[in-house]
Amino acid sequence: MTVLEKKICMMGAPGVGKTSLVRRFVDSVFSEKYLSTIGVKIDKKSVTVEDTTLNLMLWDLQGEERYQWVRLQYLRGASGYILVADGTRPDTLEIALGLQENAAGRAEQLPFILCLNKADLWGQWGITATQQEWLKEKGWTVVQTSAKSGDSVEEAFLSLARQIIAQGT
Amino acid sequence: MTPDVGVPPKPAPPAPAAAPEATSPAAEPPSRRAAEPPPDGLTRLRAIILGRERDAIRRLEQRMEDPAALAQAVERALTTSVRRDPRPLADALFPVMGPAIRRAISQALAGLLQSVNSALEQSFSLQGLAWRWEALRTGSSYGEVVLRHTLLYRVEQVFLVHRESGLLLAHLTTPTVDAQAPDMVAGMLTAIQDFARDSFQVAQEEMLETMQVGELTVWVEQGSRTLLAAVIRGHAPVELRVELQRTLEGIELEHAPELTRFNGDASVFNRSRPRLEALLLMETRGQAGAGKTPWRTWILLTVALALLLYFGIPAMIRQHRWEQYLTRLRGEPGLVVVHAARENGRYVVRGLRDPLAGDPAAILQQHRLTDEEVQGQWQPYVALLPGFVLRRAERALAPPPTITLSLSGDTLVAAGAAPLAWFSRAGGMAPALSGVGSYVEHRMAPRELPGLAQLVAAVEARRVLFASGSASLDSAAIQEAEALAGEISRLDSAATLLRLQLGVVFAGSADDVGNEDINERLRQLRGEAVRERLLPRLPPTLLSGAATLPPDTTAAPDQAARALRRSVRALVSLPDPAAPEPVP
Repeated sequence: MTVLEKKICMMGAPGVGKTSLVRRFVDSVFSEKYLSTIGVKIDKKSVTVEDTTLNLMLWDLQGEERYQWVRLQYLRGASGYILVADGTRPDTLEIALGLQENAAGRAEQLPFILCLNKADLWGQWGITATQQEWLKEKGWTVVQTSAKSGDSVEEAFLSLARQIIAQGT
Repeated sequence: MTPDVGVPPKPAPPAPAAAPEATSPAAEPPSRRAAEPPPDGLTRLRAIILGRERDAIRRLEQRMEDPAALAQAVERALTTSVRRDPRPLADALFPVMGPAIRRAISQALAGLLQSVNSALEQSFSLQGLAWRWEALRTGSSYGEVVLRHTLLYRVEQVFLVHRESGLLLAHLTTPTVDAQAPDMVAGMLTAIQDFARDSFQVAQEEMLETMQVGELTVWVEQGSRTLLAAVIRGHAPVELRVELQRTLEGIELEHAPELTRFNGDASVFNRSRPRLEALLLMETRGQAGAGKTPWRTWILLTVALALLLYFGIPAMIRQHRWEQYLTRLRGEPGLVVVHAARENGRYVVRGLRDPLAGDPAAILQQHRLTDEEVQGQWQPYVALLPGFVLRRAERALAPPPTITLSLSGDTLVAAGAAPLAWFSRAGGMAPALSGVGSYVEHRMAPRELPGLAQLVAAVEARRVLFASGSASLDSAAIQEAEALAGEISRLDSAATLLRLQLGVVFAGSADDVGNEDINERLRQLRGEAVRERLLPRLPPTLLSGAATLPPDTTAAPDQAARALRRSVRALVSLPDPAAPEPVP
């Protein structure tokens, strides 16, 4: 059994539920106050894919929207990233697209997934199926998650882990 | 080239490098062998024409791949470059070396400052004094002693962190420390570095080197690809930082390939654990002992001091008083100290004492000592000091106040007026007194006694003058009479002290002009006038009466002498105690 450590960044517009998305699924020692004070909080999520255990060190970056661009430098040394958008707010998808564009322009092609959060509020969704199709056609991995019910969160981590192993980053 | 073309190839021994290819193609890697087509005419031609050059190129390639050979070439190149002009190389290295040198210097200065601060802090304290004493005792410098005592620290945790990703490569703790989630802490350590850099806008190579939390200090050293963080309890010396740097350099050198292509597998860094463990072992020597505050010693010292104060100081005061007392006794006439010592917890003084000498018990009291503290044992003796001889004589002979006793050598002298009985008694007793060899008397009339003679002369020199033919006192006469009364009072006081009975008679006189009967009358009247005048001023027992002086029959030489004869003067009588008592 191989154990590998990987740095993963979580990015997304404020209020999309990055923090709550992982809260129930990770080992955490730092309080969420860290996010508002120094702007970073690190949690750990272990995922096993076949005979490899990945210890994903999740860098949750907080801050106002404009700081998200600055904080892209935290991507340095990362093996992948998780984009989070709020399914009920199409503008957050725009921000996620922008972030991905910046990340892609910045570093080598890192594996990433897009979590469309708040799947439990399906009736209020503003992101259309067409948009999702378009993203999947671009080669994106899109997962509809719900921080509230926990639906598909494990699957999202697993999906990213597989990509990382496949790519060998 | 030319010889190769002109001369056909000989089957001479080929160059060693070319040998494998030419003689045994089977030695080639299979892939390569499979890829190469069988040698055709062109290949053979190429081998013939370019054979040597190909060998040379291959040798060059091999040298390029051999690190040892390359190192030699690079060394030579660097030496030549520096010799020719050192500047290009210095310029090239400066961006790398500059910050490193700067950091080393600033850390050395910080270390120096730390030592100086500790030294100053401790200089004026009790601890500082103790260390100064230790430095003196052991012959080491004060600075060394201060460092030895102040550098108490323990490295509790060491983190080796991949700098770029913040992933933990290795983590060690001392056995007693309970560290939580070191992988997440490692990430945060990196994040905080970024945070500090972003917040304070410093250069990318600058870093957060020290974090202080209560007794814990986190020192972070940065290498090209890793961070080394040490969690330290206590005050670590700057040498530890140097050691951290050295360890980090060693690890980066050892793991250079793994660090270059780090894929998240931290297990390979287990090789560096011994280096990191060495850091944990860097505890100071004084640690074990220093943890225990020497409070027992302090209590003992305090108790000892209290006892010393309680018993020592009164004892010191007593000793001081005793010494003063002895000094006084030794200076006291009539006392001879023969032995003085402390016996059975009290002072004892033994000696001889003249009965007329000062009382040792009274002197003891003056020195605030009690007879419980000091025991005196005195044997009586007779001191032959002049003062004592004289005092013994005065005690034995009991002279009247009109007699003065003195000692000249061993001769006792009695001078003055005294009853005959006294003189005869003194003459008998004096030679028998201790210290008296002989006895001499100077008998005197009372009015000759020192102290009286002058006063008598002063009284008898006064003249109360009268006008010719007059017996009444004019103002000048009254003034003179008053002055006379003052002189008589003084003489009376002195006589009373000597227990002598003074008598005064105012004797009038007259000039030689005129009828003798009248003059006789004037003499009497003038004497009585002065007596009447002074009667209220003087005790009546003193003034036995007025008298007349016999007429002066000699002719007065001038008017002044004549005027002086028209006067009254006082005549003093002092009965001589040596005279036989008048029969009543």
